[in-house]
Amino acid sequence: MLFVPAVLAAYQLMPSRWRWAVLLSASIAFYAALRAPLLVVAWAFVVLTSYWLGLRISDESNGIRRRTYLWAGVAAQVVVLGSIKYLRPILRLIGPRFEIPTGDMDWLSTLGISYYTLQAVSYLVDVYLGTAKPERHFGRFALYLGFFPKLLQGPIERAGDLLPQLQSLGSFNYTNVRSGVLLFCWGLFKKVAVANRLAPFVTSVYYDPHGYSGLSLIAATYMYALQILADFSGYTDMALGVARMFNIRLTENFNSPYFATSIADFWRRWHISFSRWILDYIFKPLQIEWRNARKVGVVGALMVTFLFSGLWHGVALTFIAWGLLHGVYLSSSILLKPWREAVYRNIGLANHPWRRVLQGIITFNLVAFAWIFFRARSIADGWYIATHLFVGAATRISYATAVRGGVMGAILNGGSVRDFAMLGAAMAVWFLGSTFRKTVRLQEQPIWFRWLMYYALILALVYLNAHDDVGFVYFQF
Amino acid sequence: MMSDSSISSSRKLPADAKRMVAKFVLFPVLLYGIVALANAVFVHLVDWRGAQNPNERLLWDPDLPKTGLVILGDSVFASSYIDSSNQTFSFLLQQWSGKNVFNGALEGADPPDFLNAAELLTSSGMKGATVVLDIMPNRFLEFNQLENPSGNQARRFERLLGHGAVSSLIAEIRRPLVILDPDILMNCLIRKKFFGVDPYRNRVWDKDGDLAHRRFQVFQQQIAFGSLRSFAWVQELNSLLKRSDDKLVIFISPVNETLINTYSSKEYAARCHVEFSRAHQSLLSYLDRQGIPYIDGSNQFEAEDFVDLVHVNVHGQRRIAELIDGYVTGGRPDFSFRKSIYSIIGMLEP
Amino acid sequence: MIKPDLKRVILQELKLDDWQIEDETLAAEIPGWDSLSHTSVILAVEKAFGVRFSNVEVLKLNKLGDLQRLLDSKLQ
Repeated sequence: MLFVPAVLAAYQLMPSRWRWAVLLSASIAFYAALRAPLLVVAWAFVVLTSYWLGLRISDESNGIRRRTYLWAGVAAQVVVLGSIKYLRPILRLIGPRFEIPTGDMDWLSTLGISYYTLQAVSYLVDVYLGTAKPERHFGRFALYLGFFPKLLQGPIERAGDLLPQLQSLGSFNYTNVRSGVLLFCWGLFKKVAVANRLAPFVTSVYYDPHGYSGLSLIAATYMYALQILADFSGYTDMALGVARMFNIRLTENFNSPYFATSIADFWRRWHISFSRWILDYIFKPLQIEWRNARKVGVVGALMVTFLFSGLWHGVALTFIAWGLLHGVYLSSSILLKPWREAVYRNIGLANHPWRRVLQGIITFNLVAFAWIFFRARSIADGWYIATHLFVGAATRISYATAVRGGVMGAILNGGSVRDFAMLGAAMAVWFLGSTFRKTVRLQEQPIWFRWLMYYALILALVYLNAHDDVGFVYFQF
Repeated sequence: MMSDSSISSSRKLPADAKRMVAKFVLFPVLLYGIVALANAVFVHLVDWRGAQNPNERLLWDPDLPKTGLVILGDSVFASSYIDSSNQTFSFLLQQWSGKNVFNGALEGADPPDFLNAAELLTSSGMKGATVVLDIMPNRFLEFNQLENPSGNQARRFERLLGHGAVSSLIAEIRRPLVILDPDILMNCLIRKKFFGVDPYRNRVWDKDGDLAHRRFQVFQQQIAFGSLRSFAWVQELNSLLKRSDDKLVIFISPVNETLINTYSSKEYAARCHVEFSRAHQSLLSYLDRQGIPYIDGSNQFEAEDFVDLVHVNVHGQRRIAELIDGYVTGGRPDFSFRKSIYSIIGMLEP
Repeated sequence: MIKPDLKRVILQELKLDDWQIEDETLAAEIPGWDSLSHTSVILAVEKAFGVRFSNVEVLKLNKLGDLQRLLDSKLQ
């Protein structure tokens, strides 16, 4: 809790030439505090290789050598990422004889590594293409890869966005600190009051889906869709808020994703820094490579891209299924586009304002359906849930029995009316707050109004925070 | 970029700085003032204490005892199987002695919770109190089910105690502001009945449904006879309390032997008796060695006092009150008479 | 300056009647030129002028002016 103010103070006291050092040492201390020395070593390796190779690529004029450096750099990052994240699961898949006793490493070991390796690759490619200038100052480069607010779970920053900001680290800006703290608290609220409250409902159903009726499976899936949004966008707001206190703008990662009107639109609004990364560094190159195959080429590029996305989230069939499902969604969208347009025209909805609403509802449901596999504990569970969503109320099980089990049952069960009411309140605050953020520029309001809103947020945190410790959902990646 | 504003702002710094400091101070103070005012109004207008769960008093009551007789423990002492709040043993004790008795027992508490409870009380200024803690002898028998090493109320204690200088300070400021506790407010809204509702009502184990039988079956599945668990936490608790001049007294709670005999085979019952006696003896010798006084409640109860294997009903509550009162006031004639009668009967059993 | 023959190929591929396309026009501004039409336009240009761009060259394209210059360099 005292970490950020301490760093802020040190940052202020230092002359601007040395501010990067303050932030860098704070970031290293932050990472080291997780007590996973292997991660710090991996990070250092990533920093050293991409720094050196970035300079080599830029200084070298020979095209073949440049390409070699680039591929060497990419390979290095992939090796680091792969060995830390996937070695254990893969060995486990091969056979129990290969089990490595790494204890806690399973979960801890994935903090941050997936993010800064991707960022390093983007840096190398951008330098290669000439989109970005290489960073010659080693300290600043290390900070670019390790800046503590974004170290653990992104956003994945582009060289062109973050490096210039690190060149000129400004001094204490009261407005930025103020709005940064506010943003941090808002993200915290989404995490501890909304996501943590949704989690127990989701967990109880997804832990043992066979015990629940279709209605509960649907409800739990929708709740998970909300939970993962609240969780991850909450984390992102906390990261952006802390960065803002140091006058650094990190990229927005979420833009009302569930208002998307198509899956393609969804991926422009969800985990934006990641989807832009896979778009620019996997999809586009593949699409261009396979352009002669026209639509087939595009479909191929999409499937590979989203297969990568699934794998990046974790080595499990469920994540792969989720990724491929989105690949299928996008491919179908492209292949069926002309027919879709015809259908809409025939219904007469082509330019109707309700078309967007309909599209939004359809998109949300497609996304929620895909989340089933993302959350399910095994592919078998996922398949079961997917195929039993509408089963339960219409079978021999009486409606009362179907309702009594699961989420619906939880509502009717006296003790949990309370939990559900609190959850409802938290969701209402979330909705109101999000709308408020988009429509009102708080920093321009009179002081009494601002303080009123600050107090409201503090009290919302006090009353609605859930006591359970669920952990950040996206932490596993 | 930022340098321009910093140049111009540095000239305004003295005036700006004063305003900023004023704001930094006023912000929390004003918030505290508003909340404290709202709290005062709330406490005055609403009978909030009456709506809370008496079996969790330790967790919500801002007025923790500073001395006197304090009860700590688990569900045995948490007095759930009664029909109204004036049937608890703590209420009876309070009546008989005329002094305040604070029942801080918590349903489902484990040793880490006991330690947390003691920590909470001593850090709130409890001194010179007599703390009576119940221990079921079977607490030292091995269980198949894993217990949470931090206790079952770890989160709530963490909220109350904090885990560092800053959070403990916040916890302390927060405690009297009951209006900030959503659980308290919810209880005021949903006026729940805590006693006299199934299964938490007065009942006798063999005359009222099969609750006792079902629970015993679960017990049989979970218990694993073998080595005894560590007694160390008792001494840890004792030292903790001693540091604030508080005295620890252990109440060894009874076991419903008749139930064991009724619901299990002769061999199993005999095995149970042996194991329980073993645990009981070990506990006694441990307490003697550590110099911790105790009230031995075993064999002081009759079968009708029980709700199941270890919990007591209204009759049992009264019995507990008698035993503790006897200890505190220095012994009553019929108390020791009853004890000797039971031990004679025990010797006569085949 | 975008030459008329290049302009014709682009508009024909995107099935647009006419649109002001200049040097500075970013790919994203032209209706229809999203990540899918991008490649079909490149392909059409390659076919129409009988050239082949490398992947890296295509990735570097930002504005239409870039495309014009790239095309010119290939035709020399």
